[in-house]
Amino acid sequence: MADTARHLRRDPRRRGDADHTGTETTHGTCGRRPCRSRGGNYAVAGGGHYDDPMPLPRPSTTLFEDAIDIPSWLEHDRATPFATRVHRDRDIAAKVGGGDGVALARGWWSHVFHGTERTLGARLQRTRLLVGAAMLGLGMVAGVAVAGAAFHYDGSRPINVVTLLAALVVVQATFLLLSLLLLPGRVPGLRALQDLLTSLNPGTFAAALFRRFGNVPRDVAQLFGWHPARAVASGRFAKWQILAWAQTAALGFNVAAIVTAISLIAFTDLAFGWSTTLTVDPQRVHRIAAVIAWPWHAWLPSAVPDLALVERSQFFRLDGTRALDVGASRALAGWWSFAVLAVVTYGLLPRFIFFAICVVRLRAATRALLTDDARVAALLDRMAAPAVETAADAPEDARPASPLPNSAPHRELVGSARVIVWSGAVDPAQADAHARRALGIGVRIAVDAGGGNTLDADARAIDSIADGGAGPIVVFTRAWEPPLLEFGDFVAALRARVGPDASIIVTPIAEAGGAIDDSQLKTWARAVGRIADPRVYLEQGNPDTRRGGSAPGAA
Amino acid sequence: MSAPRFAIVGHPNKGKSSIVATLAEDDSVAISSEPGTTRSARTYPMRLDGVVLYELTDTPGFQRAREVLAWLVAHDRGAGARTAVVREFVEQHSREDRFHDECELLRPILDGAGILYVVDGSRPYGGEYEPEMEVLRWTGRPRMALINLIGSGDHVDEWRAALSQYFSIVRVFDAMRADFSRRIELLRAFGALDETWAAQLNDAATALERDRDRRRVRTATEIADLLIAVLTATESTKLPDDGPDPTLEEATRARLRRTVGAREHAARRAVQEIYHHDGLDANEATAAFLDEDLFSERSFSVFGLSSSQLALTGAASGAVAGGVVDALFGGTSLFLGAGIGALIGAAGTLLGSDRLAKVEVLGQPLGGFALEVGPITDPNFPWVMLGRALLHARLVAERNHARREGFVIDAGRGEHFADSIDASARRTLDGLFRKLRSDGGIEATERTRMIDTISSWVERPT
Repeated sequence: MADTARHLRRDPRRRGDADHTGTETTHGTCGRRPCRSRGGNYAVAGGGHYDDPMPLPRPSTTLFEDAIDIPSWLEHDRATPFATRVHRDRDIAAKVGGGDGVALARGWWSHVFHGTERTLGARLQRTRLLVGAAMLGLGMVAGVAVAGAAFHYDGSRPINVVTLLAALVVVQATFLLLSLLLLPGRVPGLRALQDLLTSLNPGTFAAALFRRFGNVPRDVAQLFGWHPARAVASGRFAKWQILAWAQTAALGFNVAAIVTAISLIAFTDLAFGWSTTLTVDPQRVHRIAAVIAWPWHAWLPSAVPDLALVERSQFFRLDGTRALDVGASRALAGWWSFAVLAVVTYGLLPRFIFFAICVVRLRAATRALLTDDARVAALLDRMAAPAVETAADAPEDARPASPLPNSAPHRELVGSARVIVWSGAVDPAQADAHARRALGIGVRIAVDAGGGNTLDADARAIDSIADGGAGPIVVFTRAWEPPLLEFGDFVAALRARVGPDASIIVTPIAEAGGAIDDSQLKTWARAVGRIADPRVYLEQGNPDTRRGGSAPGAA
Repeated sequence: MSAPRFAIVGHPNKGKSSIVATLAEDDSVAISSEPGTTRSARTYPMRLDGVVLYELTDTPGFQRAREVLAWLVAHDRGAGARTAVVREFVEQHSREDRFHDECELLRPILDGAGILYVVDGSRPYGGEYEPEMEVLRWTGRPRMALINLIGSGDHVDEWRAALSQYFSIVRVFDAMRADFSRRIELLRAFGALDETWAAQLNDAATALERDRDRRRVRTATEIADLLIAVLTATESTKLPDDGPDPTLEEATRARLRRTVGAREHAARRAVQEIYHHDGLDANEATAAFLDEDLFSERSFSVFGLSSSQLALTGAASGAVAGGVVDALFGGTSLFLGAGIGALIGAAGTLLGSDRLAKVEVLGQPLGGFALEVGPITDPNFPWVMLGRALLHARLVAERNHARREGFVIDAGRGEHFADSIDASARRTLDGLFRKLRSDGGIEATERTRMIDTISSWVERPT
């Protein structure tokens, strides 16, 4: 029902922005967890909210409306982060309490939707009722017309009870039986007949009217298009909806026919007889009439024609009324109660029972529309399953990477240098070989600092370097270890001790057997940049010798 | 009883945040090769229906451990007062920027958190770690060392020997590659730090395992609903009164394909959300295979069933239908029904494999005609959809929240992904696919069967 989502206009209080909610709300991302704000609202798709603690009054809705609107809303809700939905729905589940799936879903709906605008479901419900009313009206018009014709009496000859029963009972019973053929769904061998009956069903016409003039979204239209092969929830709903509309028309037909008949009987004089071309003796007709009247013979025996009436009321059109007995006019009226009760019993009552069945089954199908919907099933799952949350409550406060220094370093790598081996980057005894190989310079003095040394030892190392004469100072570091702030402290202390003129060259050394990668170099370059001393710079060394661990003298 | 708390501490850039991201399944955790990215302690509570079962706190790394230790030693009043001395350090320096990171990492420990000290076992041990471990020892809190493996080197033994001097429990935990079972195993192991925590941690582990099962079913549900939607998808266009327009059919076909593609995309997003990989699309390109056009020959070749498996599956479904006829004849038909059914099923499947979507011109109620395209009838189409969805789901399910790079798929994995689904599951699904195509839908119970069948294939290793 993707299309239906757009038909469900958004309630500004429900899904609008924070200005409309009148509540203070945080719009940050708290990991996956929805940011709770004051007032207990939760962020939902589009930055809107649903007002949980104090739901606004909302108009009562029918099951059908909810079966349309809840899936539509949930389709739209797919844009809301899953964690937010889980959190929200679990919260609502605690408030809704128990009940079956329908009760849970509708209870949930009462918490999330407080809109006052007409929803798609409400609009369809209204159209549905209008179509039902139209079917009732059409049935009544037909009932008045058929009953008017069947009970037509101009005094020239009696109303033929046989014709009357055929028109008002037999035809209806046949239609009803044919309708029953549609109930089991697709029946092998009967598919063509079922298709024909479906297309002839007045409910199908009503559904076509509904689809055509109800401005029904395409995905909802299938709820009103009966395909006998489809036994899924929408197909089942369509079947019972169409049958219910058909029975509404039939009920209208019968009620109108009976009222018309009684009106004619009450306000005009009618005479009934029976006539047929077939050779049927009155005794047989009496037996048939008795069988027909069986349902009411016990409590209304006067409505069961006796043999004398049957014998006296047979007529033939060729004979006119001359063949009837003297006093027949009054006696012939005796059929009326039989005729009316026959229409009530075999026309109205079955239709009423079938209508009641349709209403019950339609309600069940509407419930299934809701519970069989995949989105509603997912909602019920979210409501039932414990909410497990593992993400952070507060947003990350990450430190942005400092920019890479872009000024060209002032190179001063000539002659010999003083070397500090920071944190055991190389063996101090091999510092000279490393320096010659990596930087092409000799080493005058090499000291060890950082790592497992104490701060006092670091201070002594700085003193040794300061006392080691002039020239650049090379600091070998372990490329794979991140430069800590204490390294910056050390360089600052070194600078303070050796004065502003000496170049301090930071040279990362690769792990034994490994190589320095770009990210390591960038990390050290940023650290050196943060020192913000133009005479402290990074020297990567000879690319051919940037592999660590090899013997200093190795090629 | 308050929930167990754990502070993840250590040297900068050794994978503390990766471990937290993995355990908390939170890909919003900032993970960077740049040291010092984590500026403040950040807590990740594990809640079950709002009740906190444990908390992890990610902390900045040590920056001046030697200086801290020097201060502690200078203020030492004996072993019994060392925790108090650490507390005094934090209180005195908490307003100073100089020891911001140390205060951030020590504060949760002083508030009662257990210590999870993280090192990188792929890099050599160094003496600069000892002041850090010594400072942690001064706190007097229960401690566990986790040897993370960021790179390819192996210095685990060297680290284990050093760490065991300071920590009673030393474990190797590869944050980047740890699967769900390893994470649960580690969580339960935290209970060894303090026996009063074990019960709550076990409850938490059980809740996470159940939640994982639910994710699997939810993922299977998304895939099943995707299949139901795309196998019943149709597009229609009202035909003009002056006769059919030849371009309409192609345009309607294109619309159907777009609809199917959009539905597949929505299902992928839903699966990613189920596994808490919400930002995956924004951060990276998915695997090339998954970006392959759904209707391309290559997609059919990679993800669908091979011709032989397609024929076998069709034959199996046909044989089942024919078997019903045999049963009606009480076996006197000598399984002719099953045989004929199998032949018809296989032939029908193979012959139908070149049709992508049926096209019909339908009379509209109350007049007019409409061109209806779909549903897509190619028997291999649902298998292609299923193959793609399963591969995506498995990659997402396996994916660790500490990883920031894209999916990696072995291009040489071979073709016909759906062939890996066993015959029984294939038969079940084939029957449901057929019903979807013929009836335009399936019953709720059949949907449940589809979900059950798919769910057993969601988390199989790729």
